[in-house]
Amino acid sequence: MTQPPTRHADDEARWADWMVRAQRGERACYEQLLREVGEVIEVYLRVRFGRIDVLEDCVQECLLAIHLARHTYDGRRAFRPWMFTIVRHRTIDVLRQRRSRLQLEQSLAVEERGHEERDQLLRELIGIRVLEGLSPDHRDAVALTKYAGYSTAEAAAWLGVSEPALKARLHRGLAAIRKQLEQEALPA
Amino acid sequence: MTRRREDLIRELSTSPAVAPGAGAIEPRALRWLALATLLALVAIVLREPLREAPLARLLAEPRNALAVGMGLLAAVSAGLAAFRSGVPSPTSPLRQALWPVLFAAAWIGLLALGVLRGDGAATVERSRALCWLEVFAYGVPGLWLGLVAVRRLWPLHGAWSGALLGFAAGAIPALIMDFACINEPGHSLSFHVAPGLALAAVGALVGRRALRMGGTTG
Repeated sequence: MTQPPTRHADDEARWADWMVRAQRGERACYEQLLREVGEVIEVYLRVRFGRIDVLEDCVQECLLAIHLARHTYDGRRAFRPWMFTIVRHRTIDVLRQRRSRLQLEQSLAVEERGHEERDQLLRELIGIRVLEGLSPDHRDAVALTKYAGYSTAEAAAWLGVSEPALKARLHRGLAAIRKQLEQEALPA
Repeated sequence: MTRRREDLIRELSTSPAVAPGAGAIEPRALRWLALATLLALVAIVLREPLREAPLARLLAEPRNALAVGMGLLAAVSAGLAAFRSGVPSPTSPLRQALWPVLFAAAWIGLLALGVLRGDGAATVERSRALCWLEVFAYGVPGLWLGLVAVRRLWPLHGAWSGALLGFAAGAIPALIMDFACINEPGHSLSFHVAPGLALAAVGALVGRRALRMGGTTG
C-alpha cells in the first residue's frame, strides 16, 4: 500500500517545481518560493540555534545566498538538501562574522582604554616635569590648586599667604608653564 | 514576516531569470577536462613529439597500462568531484573526494610497486630535460580555467575544490608525459606524478582564497 504523501514531500515537490520555473523567469513562483522558504528557514534557525538576536539577519542572508546560488540548482535533484546546505553554511558564516565583530569591538575598547591610560600617564609625566621648572612659590600654587584640587582659599591658607597673592602666583605659574610648553611645542 | 524581508523578497524576485545550469555540471566538468588535456597535449607535443606507437607499448606492458588507466580515472573523477563541489550539497568534501583518492592511491601504488620490483625503464628512447617543470607548467592553465569555471558555481569548500582541480589539472600532463618521456616507474613517480600532486597543493592554496563564494567554512 502506498503511503500518503507527507508535508515534507509536498513541500519538496512544490519548491523544486517553483525553483525550476524561477530559473526560467517566472517571477511569481520565485516570490512565492522565497516567501515560503523564508518562513521555513526562520523556524529551522529558531529550533537549531534557539533565541538569537540576529535571527532576521540570518534569514535574509540565507534568502540572498539562495538567490545568488539559484543557478546551481538542478531540477532533477532534491531541493531541500540543496537549500539547507546553503542555509547551514550561510548561518554559520553570519554567526562567525558577528562573533569576530564582537571580538574586534571588545579588543578596540580595551585598546582605547589603554590609550586613555597612556595619555593620562603622559600628562602626569609632563606635569611633573613642567612643575620642576617653576619657582617654589609658583610650583606650590599650581600643585595645590591644579593637581591636588584645593580651592584658592584653601591653598592660600595652607601656604600662609593671602588669597590675592596666591591667585597672582597661580597666574604667573600657569603663564610660565604655557610659555615652557609653547617652546617645547607640546600641547598645553 | 518583517517589512525588510518582504522588501528583500520583492527585490530578489524581480531580478532577471537565470539559465538552469546545474543540470549540466558533469558535461561542464568533462568539457573542462577535455580542454585541459588538449592544452597540455599541444604544449608537450610542440616542445617535443610523443614516442612512436605509444599505445602499442602501453598495451605490451599490462601493469603500466593499468597504472595509466588508474591515473586517467583519478584525473576524470577529480575533475568531476571538483565541479560537483561547486553545487551546494550535504555530501561532505571527504566523501566527494573518495573516488579520486582511491584511484590516485591505485595509480601511485602501482608505480610504487614497479619501483619496489625493480622494473627497468620500458622506454628510455626519449628523455626530456626538465620534464617535471613541464608537467607543472602545463597544468597551470588547466587549473586556472577550472578555478574560473568552479568560481561561477557556488563552492562551499574552496580549498577542497581547488585541491581537486589542481590534482586533475596536474595529473593530465603527468599522464601525457608518460608517452613523451622516460617510461619508468621511479621516474614517473618522481618527475611526472609528484609535480602533478604539487599542483593539487597549489590548487588548495589558491582555491582557499579564490573560491569563497558560498562561505568561509571549510
